[in-house]
Amino acid sequence: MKFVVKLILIIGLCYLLQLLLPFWIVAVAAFLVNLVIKTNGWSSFFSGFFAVAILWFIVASGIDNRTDSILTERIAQLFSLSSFLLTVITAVVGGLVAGMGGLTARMLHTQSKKSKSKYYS
Amino acid sequence: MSIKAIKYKTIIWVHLDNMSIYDHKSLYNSIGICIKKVLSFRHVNIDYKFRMRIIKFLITLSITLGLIYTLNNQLVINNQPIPPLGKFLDPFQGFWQNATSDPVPYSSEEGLEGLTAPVKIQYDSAFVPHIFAKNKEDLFFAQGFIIAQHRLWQMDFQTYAASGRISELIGKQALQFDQLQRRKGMVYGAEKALEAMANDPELYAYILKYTEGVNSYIDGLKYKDLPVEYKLLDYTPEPWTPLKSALLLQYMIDNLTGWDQDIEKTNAYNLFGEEIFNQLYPNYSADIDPIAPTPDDGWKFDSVKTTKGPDSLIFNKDFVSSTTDMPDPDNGSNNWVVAGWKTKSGNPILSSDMHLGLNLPSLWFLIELSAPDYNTMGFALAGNVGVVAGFNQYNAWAFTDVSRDERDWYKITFTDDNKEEYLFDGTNIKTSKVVEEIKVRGAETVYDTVIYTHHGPIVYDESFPSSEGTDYYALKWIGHYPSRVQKALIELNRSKNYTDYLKALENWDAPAQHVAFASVSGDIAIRVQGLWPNKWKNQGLFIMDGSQKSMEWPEFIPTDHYAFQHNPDRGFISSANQHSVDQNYPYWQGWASPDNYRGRRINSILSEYDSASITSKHMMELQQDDYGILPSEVLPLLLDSMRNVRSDIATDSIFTSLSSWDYHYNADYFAPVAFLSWWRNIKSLLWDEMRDEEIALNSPTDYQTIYLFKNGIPSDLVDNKNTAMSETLNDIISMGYDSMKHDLQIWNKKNKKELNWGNYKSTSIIHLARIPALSTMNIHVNGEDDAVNSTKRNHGPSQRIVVEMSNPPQAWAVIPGGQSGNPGNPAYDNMIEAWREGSYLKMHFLQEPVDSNIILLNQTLSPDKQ
Repeated sequence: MKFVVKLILIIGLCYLLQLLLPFWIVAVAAFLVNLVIKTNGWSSFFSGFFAVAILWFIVASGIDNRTDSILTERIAQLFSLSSFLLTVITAVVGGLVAGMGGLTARMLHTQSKKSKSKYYS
Repeated sequence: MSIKAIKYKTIIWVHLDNMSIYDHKSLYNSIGICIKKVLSFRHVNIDYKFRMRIIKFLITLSITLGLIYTLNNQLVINNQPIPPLGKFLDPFQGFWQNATSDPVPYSSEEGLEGLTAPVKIQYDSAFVPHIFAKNKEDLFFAQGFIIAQHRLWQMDFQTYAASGRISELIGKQALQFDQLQRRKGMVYGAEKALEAMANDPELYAYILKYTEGVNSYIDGLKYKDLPVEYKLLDYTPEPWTPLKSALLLQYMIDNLTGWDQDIEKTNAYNLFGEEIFNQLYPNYSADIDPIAPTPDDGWKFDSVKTTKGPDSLIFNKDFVSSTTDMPDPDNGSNNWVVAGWKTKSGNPILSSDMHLGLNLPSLWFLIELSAPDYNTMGFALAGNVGVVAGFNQYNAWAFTDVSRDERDWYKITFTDDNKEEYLFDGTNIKTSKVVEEIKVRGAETVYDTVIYTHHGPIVYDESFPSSEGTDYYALKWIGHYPSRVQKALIELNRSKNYTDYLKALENWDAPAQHVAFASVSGDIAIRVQGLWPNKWKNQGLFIMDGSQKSMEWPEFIPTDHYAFQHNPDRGFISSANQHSVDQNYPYWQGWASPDNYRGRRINSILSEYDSASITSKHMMELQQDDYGILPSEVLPLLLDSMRNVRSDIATDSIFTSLSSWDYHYNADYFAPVAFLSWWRNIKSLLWDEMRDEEIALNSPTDYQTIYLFKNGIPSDLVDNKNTAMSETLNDIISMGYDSMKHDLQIWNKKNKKELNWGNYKSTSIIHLARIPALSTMNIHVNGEDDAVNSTKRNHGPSQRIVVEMSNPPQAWAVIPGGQSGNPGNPAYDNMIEAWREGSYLKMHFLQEPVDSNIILLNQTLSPDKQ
């Protein structure tokens, strides 16, 4: 459940922030969401990964559809890929960045919990 | 601790937020600061476990930041640059955002600082913008803005190419090219042209407004809006400057005047001797059909006597091993105008197609410009004010290149090792040195010292173009004179009659052009326009001695002594880069690579039309004409020779196909493939002398080769030196036939396609950065360089237009590409199919804003006073 909530939050946050900010903001979004909602490492990474992979895949496929693959085909050809594979790689790249952002939060998370118990309990 | 930890986190986020997409140093610093601070926390008593956790966090953070850094930067894998994948693939900001299904995806309202009144732009169904402004300053501001909106990357990139800065973008593989651009003095020439522009306050004001317009577009761009090539090559646009406009003109001047064979001819003269040289490389062909023939009663001016030349033409006895790259000698064009009495409607009709490298984004941009006392439509260059070839309410004009030798080479004798001084006319003259700084992406900056003499910059020396050079050759080039063509173009754009045309052309200095003209009032004309020194006979055919005063260029011939045609009796004027004038023209002309075929074909077809018969449709058909005079003049001879030598040849399928060919370079035919391959093989066997020598040599032209076939080749040259026997011409033709068959077999093995002319020729329109995925390859199109439809592999008609001089004029045009420079826009290449099949788009010459369903988008640029 927590995972789904995180997924939705990251997707929403990324969608808004990405209209204005560069791609690495997805790492920040996944970081923030995972900082607030505490889970284990796997969940932290994959919440970011899947959220942004899904978001990027949907947005990229949408553009591809709307424009009849006009540019996707050319760029795919440039990398010797198919249009679909290019879209998947796009999703994976975005997912990786966000996943690492989420995982970073998880590392900090453990610390602040511990440090609280150590210094402020 | 936690407060401090938060502080460090804050540092990171602050840095990330401020980090521009192009700057990574701040990111590095944040990581550095963080690690240093945490590791120096010795005074706090932290247990080992906790410290490990901090380190784990920091490692994860570093990996994350490292990943972001990697994805934010260009990588080079196996010498292949990979765009910054994160930025590039991001569907919100990256290349995906460049894709559009709307051919005119522009905002209908733009507030722009620098305008004085609103400018209205209407885009018609051919995606051509029509700009309506209240004054010329606003008009040219808007032209700059609109061009940038369509073609920013192209205009920027072409100025990088002109000034020899491509290495900055793509790395060391462009170094030789850049070095040559610097040594040719491209920027030096552009600066001269800029000076000429700046001396004309009215023109310069327009250029400044244009510059402002381009920059107002650039200023409004975010990463997301950048043309996709910037994202691919990972760089950002530079501000536009008037010098960049001048550089673009310089680029065109180089394209049209940057070809000569003085060095090759010097080698040939020294190798073969005078007699054979004259047979192989005559300045005039035996049979010419000049553009402006001498009138029966002669030219009506007293020609100026030239200076006395030196006693000996050839002083340079050294052989030069190789020459630098040069533009395609086929850079040229067709244009013709038929008089009203020859046309069905009674209006003159002008036709023009300019043959240049075929590239995407398209070289030309179709546009209508309208302001009080200025309303023109036609083809603009991405980077220059006004239109180049086009029409207005009164006149139409078009260009073809004058195929003269506009570059000469002077051998320089330095008097000292540091090349501080050189010999000239018995004294020593000081050189000046320019250190060219060539930035190279991913490698160290290269410095190249270019030495300037009063003749021009030294291109050839001991290190360039190869390290085998021993001599110093300085380039004397028309491109180093201040060019006023931008002024001439604006004057042509607003010309109202024949007198205005003449007045406008007084400013036309270089590149020399045949400027065709037609007016609504019925005048037709053509002028051989451009600076030409009053050379002594054969001056500049060979390398000249840079230390002799008599070798210098004499004064330019007076502009009112240029050859021309005005309403000639035959009812048409035409030009196709053939010899501009005959030998009765009182000034000696040195030709570079005059065409011998297209002009004759055009003239013979135009002559055949009866009076009151020609329509615009006929002119479009003539532009598609794919008949080859070259094969018609040599193939019968080759076939006869084969029949004499090989009795069994009549049953050979290739031979029968060639025998029944009608000499049309039709894309579906096989015969032109066999002919061209055969002809190339014959020339290669026959002129083996030119290929096998380890010095720079050019073979004689096709025309001259055929002439010698018919009138006798110097006997020693017929024999192929690579064989033991002594060949006759018949043997060469027969050997060429076998080589052709062999070559075609290889082609068939390599290509799994039908062997026809279209597939064999494989015409391609290549993206300017040579990115195949952004190019259009293998276009099945008729034509060849010696046909009127002069379409070869990567070269051909860069535009076509037919203008009928009704009131107002009507025009039909096409470009091999489209209006947009964006590969993700349907208007990037939408006209290629029409261009291929020879159809045209109707030009809507609006003259004032219209309310019509042909208008796809209304755009208003408003003054924005901030």
